[in-house]
Amino acid sequence: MKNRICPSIEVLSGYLAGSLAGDEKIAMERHLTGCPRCRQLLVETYEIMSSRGIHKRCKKWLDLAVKNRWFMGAQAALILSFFFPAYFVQFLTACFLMGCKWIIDAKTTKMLIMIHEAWKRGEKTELDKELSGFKHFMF
Amino acid sequence: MSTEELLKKCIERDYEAWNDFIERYKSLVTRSVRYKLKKISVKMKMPRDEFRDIVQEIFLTIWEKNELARVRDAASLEGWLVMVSLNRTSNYCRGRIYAKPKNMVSLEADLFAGKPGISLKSMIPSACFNTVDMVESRELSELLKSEIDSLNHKQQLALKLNVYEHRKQKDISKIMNIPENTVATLVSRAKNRVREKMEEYFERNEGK
Ligand SMILES: [Zn+2]
Repeated sequence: MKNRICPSIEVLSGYLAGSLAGDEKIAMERHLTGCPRCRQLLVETYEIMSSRGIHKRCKKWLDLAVKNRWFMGAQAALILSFFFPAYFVQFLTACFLMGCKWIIDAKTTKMLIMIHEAWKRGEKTELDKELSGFKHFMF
Repeated sequence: MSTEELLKKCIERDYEAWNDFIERYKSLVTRSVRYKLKKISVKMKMPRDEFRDIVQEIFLTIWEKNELARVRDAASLEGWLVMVSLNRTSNYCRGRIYAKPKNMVSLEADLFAGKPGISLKSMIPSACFNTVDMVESRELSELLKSEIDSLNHKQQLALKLNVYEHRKQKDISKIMNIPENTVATLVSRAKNRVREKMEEYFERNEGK
């Protein structure tokens, strides 16, 4: 029968990390074939550690969603206004307000406003000249 | 700070480093505890502070007993932490209202009793898989077991991870630290060998 004394978690985690070699590794593998308990612990550990990648990716998307929440809210309100014609005006107002919030929050807009104000004061910068076409369109 | 440095400082009882350590691995430990609680299907919802207590207790014990000194190397630290968390969580739940009653059937037994969901089918030629009682026959179980036992240890481990733990080739290759195509060869060879033996068995029985 197989060796029934389970190895310590230090050795087991070493196996998972690929730190074992030679006889120690072979002994470990032999034990794992005969011991469902250690095998389960190994598999569970692997599962938790590999789910971290997914975790991080989810977080990235979540961050993106939070960052653009007003824009997405505005879009959602716009779409909903078509599905619920009875509340069309309310949804459209919500869409407009959230859209405004999005525009105010956006960094690029802030920069453009600053340039616009500078331009009004008559301080024409190089950047300003380059952006004049775009500014014309915006304001 | 690198993991090696952090580990070394914690072992040398640097309290500041220990705080960094907690900060860095809190989410991993929390996730492991949550995973285990879900796995042992906690009957009633655990109060939030009790959950927090388990996580804190895990860190506290590691610090008080200077358990980090036992960790082999920085590479195995995360795996070690997860294993500690899993073990301590199940110890905590044992005998408490949270733990569900044990209906212990070992994973080994599942396969041989022909429990659905475990791919015994994949090992037996489909033509022979028409009578359930055949699968349940003791003789067959023993034959299958002895066949699996006669494989070399790498084949056995790959096969068991595949059949008993339902792991894909990709995962097995990462767990065993061997290339994916090696796993494919190991598993298919092991399955073929078992399948051959099964076929022989059924042929012999039909001839009776
Ligand atoms: Zn064991």
